[in-house]
Amino acid sequence: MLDYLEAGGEAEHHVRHEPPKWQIFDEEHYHGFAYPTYSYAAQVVDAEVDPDTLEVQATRATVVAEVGRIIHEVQCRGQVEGGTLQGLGWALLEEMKVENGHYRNDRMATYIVPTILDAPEMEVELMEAPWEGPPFGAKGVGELPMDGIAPAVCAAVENAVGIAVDRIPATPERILDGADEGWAS
Amino acid sequence: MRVAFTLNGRPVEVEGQGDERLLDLLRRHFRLTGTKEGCGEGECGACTVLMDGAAVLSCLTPLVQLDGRELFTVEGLEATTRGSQFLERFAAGGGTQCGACTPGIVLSAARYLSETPVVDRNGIRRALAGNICRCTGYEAIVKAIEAEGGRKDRVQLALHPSDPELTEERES
Repeated sequence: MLDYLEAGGEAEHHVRHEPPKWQIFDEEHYHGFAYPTYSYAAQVVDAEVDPDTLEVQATRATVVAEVGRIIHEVQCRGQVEGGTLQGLGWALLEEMKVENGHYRNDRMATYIVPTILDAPEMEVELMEAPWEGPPFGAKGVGELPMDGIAPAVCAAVENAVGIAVDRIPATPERILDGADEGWAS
Repeated sequence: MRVAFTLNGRPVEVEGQGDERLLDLLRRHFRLTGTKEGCGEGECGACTVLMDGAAVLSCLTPLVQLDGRELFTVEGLEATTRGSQFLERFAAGGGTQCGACTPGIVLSAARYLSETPVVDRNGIRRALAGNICRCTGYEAIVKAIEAEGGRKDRVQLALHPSDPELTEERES
Protein backbone atom coordinates (compact mmCIF):
# COMPACT_ATOMS: atom_id res chain seq x y z
CA MET A 1 0.00 0.00 0.00
CA LEU A 2 2.91 2.34 0.76
CA ASP A 3 3.85 2.81 -2.90
CA TYR A 4 0.29 3.89 -3.66
CA LEU A 5 0.44 6.44 -0.87
CA GLU A 6 3.77 7.74 -2.15
CA ALA A 7 2.43 8.00 -5.70
CA GLY A 8 -0.98 9.40 -4.84
CA GLY A 9 -0.30 11.51 -1.78
CA GLU A 10 -2.17 11.63 1.50
CA ALA A 11 -5.06 9.17 1.87
CA GLU A 12 -8.34 10.60 3.08
CA HIS A 13 -10.93 8.57 4.87
CA HIS A 14 -14.43 9.33 6.00
CA VAL A 15 -16.40 7.41 8.61
CA ARG A 16 -20.11 7.81 7.96
CA HIS A 17 -21.48 5.20 10.29
CA GLU A 18 -21.46 5.55 14.05
CA PRO A 19 -22.53 2.27 15.67
CA PRO A 20 -25.13 2.64 18.41
CA LYS A 21 -24.21 1.95 22.04
CA TRP A 22 -26.41 -1.07 22.06
CA GLN A 23 -28.54 -2.80 19.45
CA ILE A 24 -32.32 -2.80 19.69
CA PHE A 25 -34.20 -4.89 17.18
CA ASP A 26 -37.88 -5.81 17.48
CA GLU A 27 -38.20 -9.29 15.93
CA GLU A 28 -42.01 -9.09 15.94
CA HIS A 29 -42.34 -5.82 14.04
CA TYR A 30 -38.90 -5.82 12.44
CA HIS A 31 -38.08 -2.46 13.92
CA GLY A 32 -34.75 -1.36 15.24
CA PHE A 33 -31.09 -1.67 14.32
CA ALA A 34 -30.64 -4.68 12.04
CA TYR A 35 -27.08 -3.69 11.19
CA PRO A 36 -25.40 -2.35 14.29
CA THR A 37 -21.90 -2.19 12.82
CA TYR A 38 -20.03 -2.28 9.50
CA SER A 39 -16.75 -3.61 8.16
CA TYR A 40 -14.73 -1.35 5.88
CA ALA A 41 -12.46 -2.01 2.93
CA ALA A 42 -10.36 -0.16 0.39
CA GLN A 43 -9.64 -1.88 -2.91
CA VAL A 44 -7.20 -0.94 -5.66
CA VAL A 45 -6.97 -2.73 -9.02
CA ASP A 46 -4.17 -2.43 -11.55
CA ALA A 47 -5.37 -3.53 -14.97
CA GLU A 48 -4.08 -3.75 -18.52
CA VAL A 49 -6.43 -3.15 -21.44
CA ASP A 50 -5.54 -4.53 -24.87
CA PRO A 51 -5.95 -1.51 -27.19
CA ASP A 52 -6.96 -3.74 -30.14
CA THR A 53 -9.35 -6.22 -28.50
CA LEU A 54 -10.31 -4.16 -25.41
CA GLU A 55 -9.80 -7.25 -23.25
CA VAL A 56 -9.07 -6.37 -19.63
CA GLN A 57 -6.55 -8.26 -17.51
CA ALA A 58 -6.33 -7.37 -13.84
CA THR A 59 -2.65 -7.61 -12.95
CA ARG A 60 -2.66 -6.67 -9.28
CA ALA A 61 -5.27 -6.23 -6.58
CA THR A 62 -4.55 -4.52 -3.30
CA VAL A 63 -7.10 -4.81 -0.52
CA VAL A 64 -7.11 -3.32 2.94
CA ALA A 65 -9.93 -4.77 5.04
CA GLU A 66 -10.97 -3.73 8.52
CA VAL A 67 -12.96 -6.66 9.90
CA GLY A 68 -13.33 -5.87 13.59
CA ARG A 69 -11.48 -8.81 15.12
CA ILE A 70 -9.54 -11.41 13.13
CA ILE A 71 -10.48 -14.83 14.47
CA HIS A 72 -8.41 -17.06 12.13
CA GLU A 73 -5.90 -15.11 10.11
CA VAL A 74 -5.30 -17.68 7.33
CA GLN A 75 -9.01 -18.18 6.70
CA CYS A 76 -9.78 -14.47 7.05
CA ARG A 77 -7.16 -13.66 4.43
CA GLY A 78 -8.61 -16.47 2.29
CA GLN A 79 -12.07 -14.91 2.50
CA VAL A 80 -10.73 -11.56 1.35
CA GLU A 81 -8.66 -13.03 -1.51
CA GLY A 82 -11.45 -15.33 -2.67
CA GLY A 83 -14.08 -12.59 -2.51
CA THR A 84 -11.80 -10.25 -4.39
CA LEU A 85 -11.49 -12.72 -7.28
CA GLN A 86 -15.26 -13.36 -7.26
CA GLY A 87 -15.69 -9.59 -7.46
CA LEU A 88 -13.29 -9.52 -10.41
CA GLY A 89 -15.31 -12.26 -12.10
CA TRP A 90 -18.42 -10.16 -11.59
CA ALA A 91 -16.65 -7.07 -12.92
CA LEU A 92 -15.19 -8.69 -16.05
CA LEU A 93 -16.72 -12.07 -16.93
CA GLU A 94 -19.79 -13.26 -15.09
CA GLU A 95 -23.32 -12.53 -16.19
CA MET A 96 -26.29 -14.84 -15.69
CA LYS A 97 -28.41 -14.44 -18.81
CA VAL A 98 -32.14 -15.25 -18.72
CA GLU A 99 -34.28 -15.53 -21.84
CA ASN A 100 -37.97 -16.47 -21.76
CA GLY A 101 -37.54 -17.77 -18.25
CA HIS A 102 -34.63 -20.02 -19.14
CA TYR A 103 -31.01 -19.58 -18.18
CA ARG A 104 -28.92 -19.31 -21.32
CA ASN A 105 -25.68 -20.08 -19.51
CA ASP A 106 -26.56 -22.68 -16.91
CA ARG A 107 -23.32 -24.68 -16.97
CA MET A 108 -19.62 -24.14 -16.53
CA ALA A 109 -19.00 -24.42 -20.28
CA THR A 110 -21.06 -21.25 -20.82
CA TYR A 111 -20.99 -19.45 -17.44
CA ILE A 112 -17.36 -18.38 -17.35
CA VAL A 113 -15.68 -17.92 -13.96
CA PRO A 114 -12.08 -16.79 -13.40
CA THR A 115 -9.32 -19.37 -13.73
CA ILE A 116 -5.88 -18.97 -12.21
CA LEU A 117 -4.83 -17.23 -15.46
CA ASP A 118 -7.41 -14.49 -14.81
CA ALA A 119 -6.30 -13.99 -11.21
CA PRO A 120 -4.12 -10.99 -10.37
CA GLU A 121 -1.38 -10.94 -7.80
CA MET A 122 -3.02 -9.99 -4.54
CA GLU A 123 -1.84 -8.06 -1.57
CA VAL A 124 -4.15 -8.17 1.42
CA GLU A 125 -3.73 -6.12 4.55
CA LEU A 126 -6.04 -6.89 7.47
CA MET A 127 -6.91 -4.34 10.11
CA GLU A 128 -8.67 -4.68 13.43
CA ALA A 129 -11.05 -2.18 15.03
CA PRO A 130 -13.25 -4.34 17.27
CA TRP A 131 -16.75 -3.11 17.94
CA GLU A 132 -18.42 -3.43 21.33
CA GLY A 133 -20.61 -6.39 20.38
CA PRO A 134 -20.00 -10.12 19.97
CA PRO A 135 -18.28 -12.28 18.84
CA PHE A 136 -15.07 -10.86 20.35
CA GLY A 137 -15.61 -7.61 18.45
CA ALA A 138 -15.56 -9.39 15.05
CA LYS A 139 -17.71 -7.67 12.42
CA GLY A 140 -17.72 -9.77 9.26
CA VAL A 141 -15.59 -10.43 6.20
CA GLY A 142 -17.44 -12.74 3.77
CA GLU A 143 -19.22 -10.24 1.52
CA LEU A 144 -16.93 -7.32 2.21
CA PRO A 145 -14.34 -7.91 -0.55
CA MET A 146 -17.03 -8.20 -3.25
CA ASP A 147 -18.13 -4.58 -2.90
CA GLY A 148 -15.38 -2.32 -4.17
CA ILE A 149 -13.80 -4.39 -6.92
CA ALA A 150 -16.14 -3.62 -9.83
CA PRO A 151 -15.88 0.16 -9.35
CA ALA A 152 -12.10 -0.22 -9.05
CA VAL A 153 -11.96 -2.20 -12.31
CA CYS A 154 -14.12 0.34 -14.15
CA ALA A 155 -11.93 3.15 -12.83
CA ALA A 156 -8.81 1.29 -14.00
CA VAL A 157 -10.33 0.83 -17.48
CA GLU A 158 -11.19 4.52 -17.63
CA ASN A 159 -7.70 5.39 -16.50
CA ALA A 160 -6.19 3.15 -19.20
CA VAL A 161 -8.31 3.91 -22.28
CA GLY A 162 -10.37 6.96 -21.31
CA ILE A 163 -13.73 5.23 -21.61
CA ALA A 164 -16.01 5.33 -18.59
CA VAL A 165 -17.79 2.00 -18.80
CA ASP A 166 -20.97 2.13 -16.70
CA ARG A 167 -22.16 -1.47 -16.99
CA ILE A 168 -20.61 -4.69 -15.80
CA PRO A 169 -19.26 -7.13 -16.66
CA ALA A 170 -16.97 -4.73 -18.50
CA THR A 171 -16.61 -6.95 -21.55
CA PRO A 172 -14.79 -5.74 -24.69
CA GLU A 173 -18.22 -5.31 -26.34
CA ARG A 174 -19.45 -3.00 -23.57
CA ILE A 175 -16.25 -0.96 -23.57
CA LEU A 176 -16.62 -0.60 -27.35
CA ASP A 177 -20.26 0.46 -26.89
CA GLY A 178 -19.02 3.03 -24.42
CA ALA A 179 -16.57 4.40 -26.98
CA ASP A 180 -19.30 4.53 -29.67
CA GLU A 181 -21.78 6.28 -27.38
CA GLY A 182 -19.25 8.92 -26.51
CA TRP A 183 -18.60 8.02 -22.89
CA ALA A 184 -15.04 9.08 -23.33
CA SER A 185 -14.09 11.02 -20.25
CA MET B 1 -14.94 -55.72 -21.32
CA ARG B 2 -11.92 -56.42 -19.14
CA VAL B 3 -9.10 -53.95 -18.54
CA ALA B 4 -5.88 -54.24 -16.53
CA PHE B 5 -3.98 -51.21 -15.25
CA THR B 6 -2.07 -50.04 -12.20
CA LEU B 7 -3.80 -47.87 -9.62
CA ASN B 8 -1.54 -45.97 -7.22
CA GLY B 9 1.21 -48.50 -7.98
CA ARG B 10 -0.96 -51.60 -7.47
CA PRO B 11 -1.93 -53.83 -10.46
CA VAL B 12 -5.71 -54.17 -10.81
CA GLU B 13 -8.17 -55.73 -13.24
CA VAL B 14 -11.74 -54.59 -13.81
CA GLU B 15 -14.67 -56.00 -15.73
CA GLY B 16 -17.11 -53.33 -16.89
CA GLN B 17 -18.83 -51.37 -19.64
CA GLY B 18 -16.43 -49.71 -22.06
CA ASP B 19 -18.08 -46.30 -21.62
CA GLU B 20 -18.04 -46.32 -17.81
CA ARG B 21 -16.38 -43.15 -16.55
CA LEU B 22 -13.06 -43.49 -14.75
CA LEU B 23 -14.53 -41.12 -12.12
CA ASP B 24 -17.33 -43.59 -11.29
CA LEU B 25 -14.96 -46.53 -11.39
CA LEU B 26 -12.69 -44.88 -8.82
CA ARG B 27 -15.46 -43.74 -6.51
CA ARG B 28 -17.86 -46.69 -6.71
CA HIS B 29 -15.78 -49.75 -7.56
CA PHE B 30 -12.54 -48.88 -5.79
CA ARG B 31 -14.17 -46.68 -3.11
CA LEU B 32 -11.53 -44.01 -3.68
CA THR B 33 -13.78 -41.05 -2.95
CA GLY B 34 -10.96 -38.49 -2.80
CA THR B 35 -11.55 -37.76 -6.50
CA LYS B 36 -14.53 -35.39 -6.73
CA GLU B 37 -17.06 -34.78 -9.46
CA GLY B 38 -17.44 -31.07 -10.16
CA CYS B 39 -19.14 -30.13 -13.41
CA GLY B 40 -18.98 -33.59 -14.99
CA GLU B 41 -18.31 -32.06 -18.41
CA GLY B 42 -14.59 -31.40 -18.46
CA GLU B 43 -14.63 -27.71 -17.52
CA CYS B 44 -13.67 -27.47 -13.86
CA GLY B 45 -10.79 -29.90 -13.23
CA ALA B 46 -12.07 -31.12 -9.84
CA CYS B 47 -11.89 -34.77 -10.99
CA THR B 48 -8.28 -34.51 -12.23
CA VAL B 49 -6.16 -37.67 -11.85
CA LEU B 50 -2.80 -38.59 -13.32
CA MET B 51 -2.64 -41.13 -16.17
CA ASP B 52 0.85 -42.14 -17.27
CA GLY B 53 2.05 -39.00 -15.50
CA ALA B 54 -0.27 -36.64 -17.35
CA ALA B 55 -3.20 -34.80 -15.75
CA VAL B 56 -6.48 -36.09 -17.19
CA LEU B 57 -10.13 -35.47 -16.38
CA SER B 58 -11.59 -38.66 -14.94
CA CYS B 59 -15.15 -37.54 -15.87
CA LEU B 60 -14.19 -37.66 -19.56
CA THR B 61 -12.03 -40.79 -19.47
CA PRO B 62 -13.91 -44.02 -20.29
CA LEU B 63 -12.93 -47.46 -19.04
CA VAL B 64 -11.99 -48.53 -22.58
CA GLN B 65 -8.95 -46.21 -22.44
CA LEU B 66 -7.51 -47.64 -19.22
CA ASP B 67 -5.87 -50.89 -20.33
CA GLY B 68 -2.13 -50.89 -19.56
CA ARG B 69 -2.17 -47.43 -17.98
CA GLU B 70 -0.61 -46.13 -14.78
CA LEU B 71 -3.21 -44.26 -12.77
CA PHE B 72 -2.51 -42.08 -9.78
CA THR B 73 -5.08 -40.43 -7.49
CA VAL B 74 -5.00 -38.13 -4.47
CA GLU B 75 -5.06 -41.23 -2.25
CA GLY B 76 -1.75 -42.28 -3.84
CA LEU B 77 -0.34 -38.84 -3.14
CA GLU B 78 -1.40 -38.97 0.50
CA ALA B 79 0.09 -42.46 0.92
CA THR B 80 3.63 -41.17 0.35
CA THR B 81 5.48 -39.38 3.16
CA ARG B 82 6.41 -36.35 1.07
CA GLY B 83 2.96 -36.27 -0.47
CA SER B 84 1.15 -36.19 2.87
CA GLN B 85 3.56 -33.57 4.22
CA PHE B 86 2.92 -31.45 1.13
CA LEU B 87 -0.84 -31.75 1.70
CA GLU B 88 -0.42 -30.63 5.33
CA ARG B 89 1.60 -27.58 4.30
CA PHE B 90 -0.80 -26.79 1.46
CA ALA B 91 -3.76 -26.74 3.84
CA ALA B 92 -1.93 -24.83 6.58
CA GLY B 93 -1.11 -22.06 4.09
CA GLY B 94 -4.77 -21.62 3.17
CA GLY B 95 -4.50 -23.40 -0.20
CA THR B 96 -7.83 -25.08 0.47
CA GLN B 97 -11.17 -23.74 1.71
CA CYS B 98 -14.27 -25.78 0.81
CA GLY B 99 -12.05 -28.55 -0.57
CA ALA B 100 -14.02 -29.58 -3.66
CA CYS B 101 -11.26 -28.57 -6.10
CA THR B 102 -8.39 -29.57 -3.80
CA PRO B 103 -7.77 -33.21 -4.91
CA GLY B 104 -7.41 -32.03 -8.51
CA ILE B 105 -5.38 -28.95 -7.59
CA VAL B 106 -2.84 -30.87 -5.50
CA LEU B 107 -2.36 -33.51 -8.22
CA SER B 108 -1.73 -30.85 -10.88
CA ALA B 109 0.59 -29.13 -8.42
CA ALA B 110 2.46 -32.32 -7.46
CA ARG B 111 2.97 -33.14 -11.13
CA TYR B 112 4.32 -29.65 -11.82
CA LEU B 113 6.60 -29.75 -8.76
CA SER B 114 7.91 -33.19 -9.75
CA GLU B 115 8.99 -32.23 -13.23
CA THR B 116 10.07 -28.60 -12.73
CA PRO B 117 13.47 -27.95 -11.11
CA VAL B 118 12.92 -24.20 -10.70
CA VAL B 119 9.32 -23.22 -10.04
CA ASP B 120 7.96 -19.76 -10.81
CA ARG B 121 4.62 -18.00 -10.62
CA ASN B 122 3.87 -18.18 -14.34
CA GLY B 123 4.74 -21.88 -14.50
CA ILE B 124 2.40 -22.54 -11.57
CA ARG B 125 -0.39 -20.61 -13.31
CA ARG B 126 0.06 -22.59 -16.52
CA ALA B 127 0.16 -25.91 -14.64
CA LEU B 128 -3.09 -25.10 -12.81
CA ALA B 129 -4.94 -23.45 -15.72
CA GLY B 130 -7.32 -26.41 -15.94
CA ASN B 131 -8.34 -26.40 -12.27
CA ILE B 132 -11.04 -23.94 -11.21
CA CYS B 133 -11.18 -22.84 -7.57
CA ARG B 134 -14.07 -20.62 -6.48
CA CYS B 135 -13.01 -20.00 -2.88
CA THR B 136 -9.38 -19.00 -2.56
CA GLY B 137 -8.78 -16.48 -5.33
CA TYR B 138 -5.76 -18.74 -6.13
CA GLU B 139 -3.33 -16.51 -4.26
CA ALA B 140 -2.80 -18.91 -1.34
CA ILE B 141 -2.54 -21.83 -3.78
CA VAL B 142 0.22 -20.11 -5.79
CA LYS B 143 2.05 -19.14 -2.60
CA ALA B 144 1.84 -22.70 -1.20
CA ILE B 145 3.27 -24.20 -4.41
CA GLU B 146 5.95 -21.51 -4.62
CA ALA B 147 7.00 -22.28 -1.04
CA GLU B 148 6.98 -26.04 -1.74
CA GLY B 149 9.23 -25.45 -4.76
CA GLY B 150 11.81 -23.84 -2.48
CA ARG B 151 12.09 -26.89 -0.21
CA LYS B 152 14.79 -29.55 -0.51
CA ASP B 153 12.26 -32.19 0.62
CA ARG B 154 9.52 -31.05 -1.76
CA VAL B 155 6.86 -33.45 -3.02
CA GLN B 156 8.23 -35.78 -5.68
CA LEU B 157 6.21 -38.27 -7.70
CA ALA B 158 7.68 -41.21 -9.59
CA LEU B 159 6.08 -40.19 -12.87
CA HIS B 160 6.10 -42.36 -15.92
CA PRO B 161 6.53 -40.34 -19.09
CA SER B 162 3.49 -40.67 -21.29
CA ASP B 163 4.00 -42.75 -24.41
CA PRO B 164 3.51 -40.56 -27.50
CA GLU B 165 2.25 -43.53 -29.53
CA LEU B 166 -0.46 -44.26 -27.01
CA THR B 167 -1.42 -40.59 -26.91
CA GLU B 168 -1.83 -40.51 -30.69
CA GLU B 169 -3.82 -43.70 -30.64
CA ARG B 170 -6.15 -42.25 -28.01
CA GLU B 171 -6.74 -39.07 -29.96
CA SER B 172 -7.45 -40.75 -33.31
